[in-house]
Amino acid sequence: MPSQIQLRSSSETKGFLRKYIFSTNHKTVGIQYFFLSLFAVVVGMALSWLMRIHVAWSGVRIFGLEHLSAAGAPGGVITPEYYLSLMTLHGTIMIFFVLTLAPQNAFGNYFLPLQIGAEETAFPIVNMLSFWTTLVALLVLLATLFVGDGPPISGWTAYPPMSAVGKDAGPGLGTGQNLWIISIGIFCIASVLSSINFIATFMDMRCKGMALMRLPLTCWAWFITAIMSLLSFAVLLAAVLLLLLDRTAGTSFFVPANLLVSGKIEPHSGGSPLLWQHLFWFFGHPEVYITILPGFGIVSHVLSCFSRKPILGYKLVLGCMLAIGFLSFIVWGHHMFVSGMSPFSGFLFSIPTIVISLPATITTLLWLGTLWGGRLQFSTSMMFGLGFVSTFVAGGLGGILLAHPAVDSYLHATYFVVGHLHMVMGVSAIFAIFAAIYFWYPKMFGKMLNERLGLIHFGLTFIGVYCIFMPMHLLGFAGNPRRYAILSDDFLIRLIPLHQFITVAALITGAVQFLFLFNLFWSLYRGEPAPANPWSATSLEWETSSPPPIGNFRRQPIVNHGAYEYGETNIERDFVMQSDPESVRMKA
Amino acid sequence: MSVLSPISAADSGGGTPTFLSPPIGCDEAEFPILLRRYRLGLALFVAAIGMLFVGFSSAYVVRRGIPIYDAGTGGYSTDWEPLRLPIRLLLFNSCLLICASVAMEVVRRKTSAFVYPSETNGREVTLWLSASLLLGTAFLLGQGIAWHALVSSGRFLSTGARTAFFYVLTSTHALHALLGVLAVAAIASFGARISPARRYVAVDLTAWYLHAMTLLWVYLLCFLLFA
Repeated sequence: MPSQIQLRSSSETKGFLRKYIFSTNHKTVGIQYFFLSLFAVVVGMALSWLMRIHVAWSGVRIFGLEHLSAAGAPGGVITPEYYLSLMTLHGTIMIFFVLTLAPQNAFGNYFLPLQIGAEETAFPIVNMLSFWTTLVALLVLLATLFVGDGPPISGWTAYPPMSAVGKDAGPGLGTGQNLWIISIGIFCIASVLSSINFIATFMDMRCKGMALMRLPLTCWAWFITAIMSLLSFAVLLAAVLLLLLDRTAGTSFFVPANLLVSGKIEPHSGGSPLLWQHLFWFFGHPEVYITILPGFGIVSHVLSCFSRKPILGYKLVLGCMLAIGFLSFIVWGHHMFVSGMSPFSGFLFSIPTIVISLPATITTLLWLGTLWGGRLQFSTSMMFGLGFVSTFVAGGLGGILLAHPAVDSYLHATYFVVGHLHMVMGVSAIFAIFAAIYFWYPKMFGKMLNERLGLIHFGLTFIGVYCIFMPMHLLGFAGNPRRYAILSDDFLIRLIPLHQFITVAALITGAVQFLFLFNLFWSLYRGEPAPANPWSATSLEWETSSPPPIGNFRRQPIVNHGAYEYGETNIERDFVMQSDPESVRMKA
Repeated sequence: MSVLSPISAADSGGGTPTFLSPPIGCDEAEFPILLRRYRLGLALFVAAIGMLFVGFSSAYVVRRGIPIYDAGTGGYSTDWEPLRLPIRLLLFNSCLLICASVAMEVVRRKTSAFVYPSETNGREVTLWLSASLLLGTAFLLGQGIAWHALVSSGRFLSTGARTAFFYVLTSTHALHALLGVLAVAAIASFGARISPARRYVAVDLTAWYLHAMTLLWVYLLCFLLFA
């Protein structure tokens, strides 16, 4: 048994810079990640507004946009190429800097050590480096907005040959594309560093009594996600290095022979765009679950707490998360059904894609079973947790359709895919993030969020996201292609009113998020002080004060109970905290 | 020296010492915990490096098999060019790296976590450390000579995919090996000024890292020669 050694955190004694800026304290790093993601999501959402306005009212002047890019938006009117640039930036920011960072790096950094009873992460310096590396990656990406030809037009997937042949192929494909590649390369390194820290913390820092089956499901979710990040981001790093060489050193990994671009035959020979797609999606599909698995943990945690019932089938939920983590590495080809891949390969990738819906479905049923018979408390966090279940099911059903190559060949390049991926990966993950914010804000900042504002925020957001993304499925069925900046064909013109409806819904839903931002900052100063355990929850983070002191715990916690012992009837309260003495029930 | 003490799942994970309080003066109880934690971190780092090369290797295999359609003949050909590697030089370099790794292993085995080297076998340890540093540096120089030989024979990154892969795989490996050599240099330079425990951790991690880079190089060489 290792000795329990009380240590003094370096942040206790250092000056302002070491305490708040270059801090190695996991809570500070977690909050830094949180605000970085918050900034990124505001930028990403603003970009989506610009795109939506342009699609619904093409040719409309957007006031002041010409100052951002004179060439991309002359007179404030977005050009088709600039629309694609905005799309690239929106996708990259949202997937990498919001959905990957917020649920894992922000909340994971803050709460993994707290929930396992540690005073720090395993490698605090690595943790700090990881954050600052990520910030550099974001700044490099945003720099694409201000370089000569703007952000690249090749999308967040950066498919070659467009992304590999340089500026002749279109706006943003010169310096902008290089910066995009460098940004993603830096992000990969940051993610690997962060993953190492998460895995080592999970495996080696648990306090006395914190057996594996006593861990909150959030910890398991962060652990599995970290393993997936470690394995997949390294492969993406290999891919972007090769892509950079194709662009700068004249190699031919991804560019085919005799490619005619802007009237010139490219000097490359024999490469394959499919090779990029294989490498990219080997990362890309685990990435889908990297964004959503922390949400599985968060939602399991929140639903159990506000149902006042133990999570139904703890081991089964865990098994499903492990199964999803494993299967996510063998389904990447379903993104490539229409890419010219062998039809036999398509069939092989279709099977595990359908199979992966099984653990997802089982988990959903277990969540519903947890709710069944519980004493439900409809807090904002609980509502967002329920919203997660709803949007995950609604979006996930579309995935079952797309898993069939024959169906996918019709729907793949349409808005159906846009609706599906936003619903299942974007909205669900964002709902999990909101559930986490409303649940853990009191612990992080020592103040309570305004619940009434929170419930209004939830209600309007929930209606809003369905108004935005469900009609996109219908647009897809109608054959509306995605990535089109202007809808000018006869059959598309008739769909414009639906696009206008979606855009209005997007603008209103986006505006509602300012209500959330107001609540976030207003509560920081005017919110009621948070008690140590406002939700009567069981896990270790609620054992300590809000916010936790340096070192997290006043005394080393010893765990005697599982993470979800709710619904107790033979003691004074209806729950048993993990650190309660074993005799707590006997005393009663 | 036994440094690892397994912990049962029911018992718990490790304790709480962290990088915040480096193992200067840490006692025998703390030392195994710290060493185990850093070894775990290193293993994960090496796993990530492994995945990077899995990515490159997969790309190599796929790229090699891509056919090129010839519109003139209507048939398919390949642009996977023949490549004459400086095999003798590469084998010699391999020996250098293996020897550097062995020398570092000797250093690891002769280093104590609780006694300053100057009090026991300081001279001997310094000798092996210097040998590891020299051999590691010689490996990197040797790789440089191999690249120079290829460039001299007109083989550049843009010559063909196979040549490009040679440069990518070997230079990425060299970059990672350089990290190991720099770590050896840092121990040789500053090792005497830090506590025995801290020094042991540095030596242990560097040795295992060099072993991993050596294994990776052996794999890469076989891959480049036979795949």
